[in-house]
Formats: sequence, C-alpha cells, structure tokens
Amino acid sequence: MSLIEVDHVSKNYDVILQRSGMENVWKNIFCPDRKVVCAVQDISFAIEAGELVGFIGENGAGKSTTIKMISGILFPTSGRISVAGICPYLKREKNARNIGAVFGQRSRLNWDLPMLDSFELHKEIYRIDSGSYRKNVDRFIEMLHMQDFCNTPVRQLSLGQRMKAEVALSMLHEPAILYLDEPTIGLDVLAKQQIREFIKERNRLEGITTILTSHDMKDLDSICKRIIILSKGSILFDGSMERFKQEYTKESVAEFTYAEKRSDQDISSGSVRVILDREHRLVVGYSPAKMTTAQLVETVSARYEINDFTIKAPDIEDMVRGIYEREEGMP
Amino acid sequence: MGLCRKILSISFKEKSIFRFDYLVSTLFSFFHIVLKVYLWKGLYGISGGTVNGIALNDMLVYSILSSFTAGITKTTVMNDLNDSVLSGSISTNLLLPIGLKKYLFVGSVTKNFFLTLYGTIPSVLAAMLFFGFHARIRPVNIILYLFSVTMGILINFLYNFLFGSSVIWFRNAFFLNNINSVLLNLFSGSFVPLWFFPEPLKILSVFLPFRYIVFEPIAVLLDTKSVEETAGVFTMQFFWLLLLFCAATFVWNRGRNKIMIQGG
Repeated sequence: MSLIEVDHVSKNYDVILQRSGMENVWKNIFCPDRKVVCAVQDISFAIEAGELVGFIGENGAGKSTTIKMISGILFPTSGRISVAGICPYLKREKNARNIGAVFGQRSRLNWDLPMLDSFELHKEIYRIDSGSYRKNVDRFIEMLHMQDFCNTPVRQLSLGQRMKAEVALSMLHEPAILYLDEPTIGLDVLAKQQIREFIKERNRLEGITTILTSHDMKDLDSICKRIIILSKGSILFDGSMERFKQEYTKESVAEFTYAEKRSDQDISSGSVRVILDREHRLVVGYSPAKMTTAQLVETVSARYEINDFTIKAPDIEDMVRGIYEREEGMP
Repeated sequence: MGLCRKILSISFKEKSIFRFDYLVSTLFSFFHIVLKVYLWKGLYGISGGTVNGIALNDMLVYSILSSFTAGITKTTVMNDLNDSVLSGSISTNLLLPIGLKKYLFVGSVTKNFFLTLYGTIPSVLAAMLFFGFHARIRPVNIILYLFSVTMGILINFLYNFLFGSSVIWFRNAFFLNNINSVLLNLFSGSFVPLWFFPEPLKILSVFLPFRYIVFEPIAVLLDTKSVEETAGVFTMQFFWLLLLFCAATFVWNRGRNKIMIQGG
C-alpha cells in the first residue's frame, strides 16, 4: 500500500454569482445564482514514502485544491483518499499530527511576536517533547540562517525571512509528510536556494515525503524527482522528471565556434537544423530523442573545424509553457 | 492545560504591545457603565424612588454587575469564523491536530481573560468607587455565580459558533452578526434587566438562551432566587449548553464538506 493514495477524486465548488445593480441586492441575498465549478476532475495517483513530488499547473489547474484534499482540509466531492492508511478529511486531527504544511499565501505565524513564540505554541499544540523541540529549533535556525532575525517580530521580517520561519515551523514536529503550496512565491534567489536545500536535506536525512506546488520551474527541477502536471483539474502527466524531460523536450540548442568550414555542405537533416551560421559561430537545434550529443558533435565536426561548443540544457519552463499553450489551443 | 498556558502567555505578550488599545478599551468600558448609570438615574428621577418594585440602588448594582458579566461572557467567535471562512484562512486552523471548536474556545477565553483583566475589571472597580456599590453578597452566591457564569460563557460561545458556521452556506454572515448583537443586548439583560420587559417579551426570553448568559447569573449572585429556582436556572443552562453543543457539532460537521478555499 502506498503512503498516499488518491483514487478517482473529483472536487466541485458551488460558486455563488453576484449580480450587479441595486435591483439585484435582495436577489443576491435570498436567491443567488449558483454555478458548479469543477476544480479537480477524476484524478488518481499514488505516492510512496520518501518521494519528492512536484505539482505543476497553470493558475486554477487544481493544484492547491488537490493538496488541501490530501491534507484533510477539504472534502472531495467523489472518490477516495488515503494517507498513511487513514482518510485525511474524516480523521483530520489524527492526520494533522502526521503532516506539515506551508501555504505560501497564508501565514501560521503570529505577526506581532517573534517567530520563536509561534514555535513555542506549535510545540504545545503538537505536544513535542522539549528535547526534540530544542534540537530541531537550533538545527533549523542554523540551516536556514535565521540567527539574525529569530527575535524580531514577524511583522518586521522580509518575505524571505518569514517564509523560512514558516517552513521551519511546519517541520518542528517531524512530520512524515510535508505539503508545500508555493513556498518560494516572491522570494529572492538566495532565499529560494536556502529553502530548496533545506527541503532536500530534510528529505535525505529524515525521509520526509514532500509534495510541492510551484510556478517556479527551478524549484521543481532542483527538488522533485517526480512531477504531476495538472490542467483544468485533470492530470496531463505523471512520471519522473527525467521522463518528462525526454517526452516533452522538442529541441536542445548547441552553439559551436569554429576556425573554418571544411565543406559548404548543409548539415541540416531530420534531426538537426541550423539556426545561425555566421562569423565562425554555428547555432543548431537538435532533438535529443533522435540524436545524442556525441553524434551531433561528430556530424558538425565532419564539416567544421570546431574550437569550442556549449549545449543549452532543455528549459523546463519552455516545456511547460508548450504544454499549457497546447491545452489552450494556442499555435 | 499546557496549550492554555502557552496561549495565555502569548496573548499576554501580544497585549503588552497594544497597551494603548487596552487603555482606550478600559475608558470606553467605564463610559459605557457611566452612560447606563446616568440613564437609570434620569429615569428614576422622573418616577420616584422605585420602579416596578426595584429601587434605584438595586438598579445601579445591576448595571455594574451586568457590565461585568457581559464583559466576561463576550466572544467574537462568530465574527472570527465568518472572516476566516470567507478569507480562506480557516485552512491554517484546519491543519492543526486539535478540534476547531476547542481551539477557538481556548482562543476566545484567553482573549477575553485579558479584556476582563485590563478592560472590564478596572472599569467596573472605577464605577463602584464613583457611584458606590451597596449590595450584600454572600460567599455561597459568589460560588454559584461563578458556576452559572461559566455556563453562560459556554452558551454564548456555542451560540456564536453555531451561527458563525452558517457562513459556509450564506457566504456572508454580517447580518447574522448584527442580529445576534441586538438579540444578545436585548434578551440577555445586559442593558435593560428582564424585570422591566413587557409580558410577551418576558415569555419570549424564556425560550431563548440569552437570559442564561447575563441576567440569570446576576440573579443568582444577588440571591433573588430560592434554592429550587437556582436549581432551575442551572438545569436550563445545562439544557441550552447540551442543545447548542449538539447543534453546533452537527452544523459544523455538515458544513465542513462544503467549505470552499480558492486561490492558494
């Protein structure tokens, strides 16, 4: 049995439509128009203990709703969810002891007091023993470089500092599963990097199963081993990051600098296309699925005397953009 | 208990930051009592020494005690629940390994503890010094009052939680908040004691929980009831407590699967 099992789950929201105009005030209160919005549609997946899984999807794709259902906050409209053998929304309190969560747009810290006060309250709520609490607080402060601001009221912290405190708070009770909903939203590069390293480190040392949603593809690329792509509430892709890159990479780009051409013959073929060839600089696009880098270099060096070359790795952001555009029916 | 202690200490630190707010709230509580007392003095001034068999001194004692009792039984949980469901911040409460009702109750009691300590008690003491407080209260009535007022706190909390949960269906319970505040002020006896109510309103108040929040605990404190009547008050308080607890649990459990949190 997997740690998390999601079986044919759907979630519909009953949305109240507000009509404008004074004449509709009473109508809006007593008989409002309603519309059913399908946030998640018949999704199924399983996550094993220790996995690092990323959810990708455009705004409104159903990522946060899925995480909120697995974490026990929301009830699915249909389907079955099991987390560590229990139903998370029916046994919410029991499930909550086993999980940690950060919702990037909602804070669990007390804004008027230093983060350590929120940590102390967390200790009481989760009944963490003093020894592990002290050990974890000291370690997390050091790992996330929080020494300089742990006694500053949260209200006066920068977004990056606050988010570090939120991530640390969510892990104080040593949860088996961690849900991170856009934990790096709006952060600078350094803060993002520190949070990514921290998450990876906790997964490596404690085996914390981590489920992450982010619009920052670098987060997903550096943290997640597996990704699930959601679009309009349905799963488009569920597999390893490697498989995703292989399946969705249309073209990699290689740039060569050369001393001279050995022949004027064009190197373009089904697998290679010349993007630019001037002033001893050759830029080619090639499909990694059809041709290895070694074969490409061999093909190019047959016609050019190469001095140097660089390969631009496939950009995950471009790939995801391609998927969204296809879904939207854009050219 | 550890949780209560921690929330208390955190609230204490929080409140010490907002000292000015507390000073203002103490002053307002005091002016509220002054307003009530002068209103009654004015009314009694026209009609003589007693109205409906109630002497002016009894009325002043009641005004001070009702301010105190209304202060310690107060809760903002309906408003808090309304805001958190509408803004989606309820998700952070639902992530905690603790029942929402219990968590909000602890929060409400601790919040009120400081309001009582810094706002209600000083203003009531000031009013006692200013207007005099001539009432003979027996220690046994204080014990009975504390028991009755504890039930009052629970009744008011559960009533507010029950109607606060309705925000899940209505999506906005601001009108319920306003209705509740009018009903509570009117029927709890926090402003006008039920002695002065016309008969139909008096009968209506018997079928509502509000009188058991402020009026009846004060009646118990002032020893205006026989042993049987006091037992009757406790029975009714227990009845309302049980009824509201079941209703609040049922409504919240029914509503939980309808909670909608969109936008992260």
